[in-house]
Amino acid sequence: MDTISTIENLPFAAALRPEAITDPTSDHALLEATRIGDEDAFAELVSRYRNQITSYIYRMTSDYDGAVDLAQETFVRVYRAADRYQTNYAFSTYIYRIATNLAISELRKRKRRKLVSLTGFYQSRDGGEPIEFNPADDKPLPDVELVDTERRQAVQRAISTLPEKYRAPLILRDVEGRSYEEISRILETSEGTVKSRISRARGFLREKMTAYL
Amino acid sequence: MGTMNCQNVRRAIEAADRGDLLSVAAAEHIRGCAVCEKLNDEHLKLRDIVANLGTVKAPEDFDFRLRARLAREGTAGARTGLNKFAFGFRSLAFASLMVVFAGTMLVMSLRSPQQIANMPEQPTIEAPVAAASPFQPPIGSPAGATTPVAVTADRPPRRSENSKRERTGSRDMASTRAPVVRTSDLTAHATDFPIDASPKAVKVSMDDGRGSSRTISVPTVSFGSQRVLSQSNSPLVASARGAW
Repeated sequence: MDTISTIENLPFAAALRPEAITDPTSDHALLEATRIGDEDAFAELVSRYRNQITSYIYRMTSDYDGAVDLAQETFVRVYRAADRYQTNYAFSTYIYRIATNLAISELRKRKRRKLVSLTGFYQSRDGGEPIEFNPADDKPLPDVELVDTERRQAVQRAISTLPEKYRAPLILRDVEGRSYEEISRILETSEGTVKSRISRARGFLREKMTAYL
Repeated sequence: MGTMNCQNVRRAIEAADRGDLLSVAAAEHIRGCAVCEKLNDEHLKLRDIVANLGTVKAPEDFDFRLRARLAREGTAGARTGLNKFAFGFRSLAFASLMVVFAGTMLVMSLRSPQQIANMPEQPTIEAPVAAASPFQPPIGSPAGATTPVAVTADRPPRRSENSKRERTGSRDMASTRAPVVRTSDLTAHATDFPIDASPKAVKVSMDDGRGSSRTISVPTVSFGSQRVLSQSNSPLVASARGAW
């Protein structure tokens, strides 16, 4: 029987190697290059994630201009903290976590400023935070495309009324398509909690969207 | 799984991801329950709508704005950092200066009374006892002409005198008394007049009290053939007259 002398001989050695070493175009490698002053590497990272992050923050905040600003702030923070970045998790997890924190901070700021809808509140099913009610629009829809557009807008509005603890996992899972494991890392909660919150969020959303379904 | 009621099926439907198949028991329940079937259909539609929301694109000038922001914040950050440093350094320097100044003033204020208290008393130069006086008034000389002035500190010495004394830095280095020449000695042992007439030069070493000393060498003095004691005047008298 051969003795395994080094880690390289292990059958899963490839999985243990840092991504940055194996793939020079990986996110880790680009951030490593950014750390030593390679502006092009950072530009590549931005081009990879700018749409995803902007879209994610927009889904969270329902404010495009604000989402663009927060997406830029996300990249600024990534750039500034490049020296402290550790490759324990995927870069996407890292950047989504920053974006989530910024979006939640923004939502809390808005709540403090009382920038809420005047349509009233409905108490959530679990007796938690109050959630806004979006009544269905009863006017006739002339066109299928318009129906789709209207439906999307309604979904967006319905999502924006979800409590933040349900909103983020729902968007990450059903809109962004992230895995439960990654979501739990982004939100720094357990997978069980993530699954539970996503289920509840879907239930809330269905109740709000009944008129469109 | 045991019996599937509507509540369990509802949970299963909400927990299922897009494309996931429900369990056989849940599927059977849905087929037989109109409410749960409707619920399942709504969830499937909703899942499709949400999944097709799509990605909102960032604006075209996103990179440009980001670069500008990084440059602006970098410059501002550097400037702010320098300002902070400058302000901090200035404050620190000023504070240090104040502490040093205050410390100096404190030490000086504490030291002055202590110094006065510890100041050595004006040494009392006692008048030499007549028998032990090295300069007994010579015969025929006016009394007290060469007698050292006896200063008694009746009152505390003034500071100016003391400081003057300290400034000059004179110190009494003598450890032994000077030999006493009595008149009787002069008359009885005329030949033993204690003047060192050796040909060796006299050396006087002076210390100014600051560590620098000077040695003055006085050449041998010859008195010639003059008889000192045959005349009635002693050399001390001559000294008093300023003949030397």
